[in-house]
Amino acid sequence: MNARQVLLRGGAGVGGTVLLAGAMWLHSVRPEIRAAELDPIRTGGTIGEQVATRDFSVRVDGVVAARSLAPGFSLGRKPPVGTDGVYLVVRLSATAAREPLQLRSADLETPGGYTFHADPRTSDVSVNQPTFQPMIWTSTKLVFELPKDRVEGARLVVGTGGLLPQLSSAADIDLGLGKDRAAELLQKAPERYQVKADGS
Amino acid sequence: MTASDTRPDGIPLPGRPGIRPRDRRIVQAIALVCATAAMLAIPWADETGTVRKFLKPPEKVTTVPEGQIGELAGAQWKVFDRKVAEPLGGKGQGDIVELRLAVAVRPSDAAAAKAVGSYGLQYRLHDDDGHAWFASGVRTTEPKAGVALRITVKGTVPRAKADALELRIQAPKETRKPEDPLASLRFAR
Repeated sequence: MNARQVLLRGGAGVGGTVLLAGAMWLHSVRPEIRAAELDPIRTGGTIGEQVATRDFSVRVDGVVAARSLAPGFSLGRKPPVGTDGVYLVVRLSATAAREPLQLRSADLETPGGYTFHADPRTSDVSVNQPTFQPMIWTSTKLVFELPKDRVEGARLVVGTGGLLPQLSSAADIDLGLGKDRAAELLQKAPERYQVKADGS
Repeated sequence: MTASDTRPDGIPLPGRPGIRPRDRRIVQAIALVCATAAMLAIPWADETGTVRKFLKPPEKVTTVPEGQIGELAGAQWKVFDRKVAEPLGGKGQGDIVELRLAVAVRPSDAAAAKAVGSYGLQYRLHDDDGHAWFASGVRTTEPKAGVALRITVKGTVPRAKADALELRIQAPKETRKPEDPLASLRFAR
């Protein structure tokens, strides 16, 4: 084997190794999408304003704070459902844009990056979320439990969410809870608040 | 220098049977192209099949005028009455009404009777602008093969739309064969 053959075979070996490494790299390449890029598409708004997204329209009618929640209908007198923090009850009305739907995700986002899911800790005081239909405004309530110092600046984010929330519709609503309003809510927060009572 | 050293293309070496080097390279190139194509096509086909299982199946809508007989899931369907009523529990909501459609259905066989009694049967009310409203079907008797029964389809809809809405019935997903579209029956007004 002369020097030329050695060079030729060595070059072929190096070239083959490079091609093999390239093929392995190519095989490992996957379409990369950053998680936040597929987050629900938010439409902003404020309390009392009708916020229209692609799939639904929603309007927050009011916010109430409560120190404890009265359980629903029961034969015995059950104790109220209390909390170390405070319950924030958001009254809203919504309608679907085209097809019947449910608002499966409802979060309260507060300053500092804290997020609180809707739903109190017991089913006694939870509200069955309705199905919203086109051109029919339906009212409901969302109950959040959060620390008292997180009420100020809280924003409501509701959306169609569910198991596959990628690029779904969401409304991001400023609840108007400035320092004074938050303090007023906490000061007037009642005991045994009736979540299921109408008009409250 | 001998022929075994230079190995010029196209000249077979004496005493070494087999294909010529140029032919061998052509075969190698073809094999490489085939392997590359297979490497791309097989995962593509595999992923496509997996994704398709989770997609909403295509829908085949059969349209008949309201009042005429349509076929769906092996049964004959006909809308023979239409009423608008105030919704139950409606507290002064004057802008919504309950639309009630009386539907006659006759399953042709036992499988059709099972489909008519299935929870997977979906009723929807549609308008011309792309809106849809849920509706529910209420029947008083169990479906039997060859026996007609009445189903009352009820839906809460805006009063302004009640007269123009069309009923669409979607067959239960269980009745669909894997390659077939999902059947629906639309009663046009």
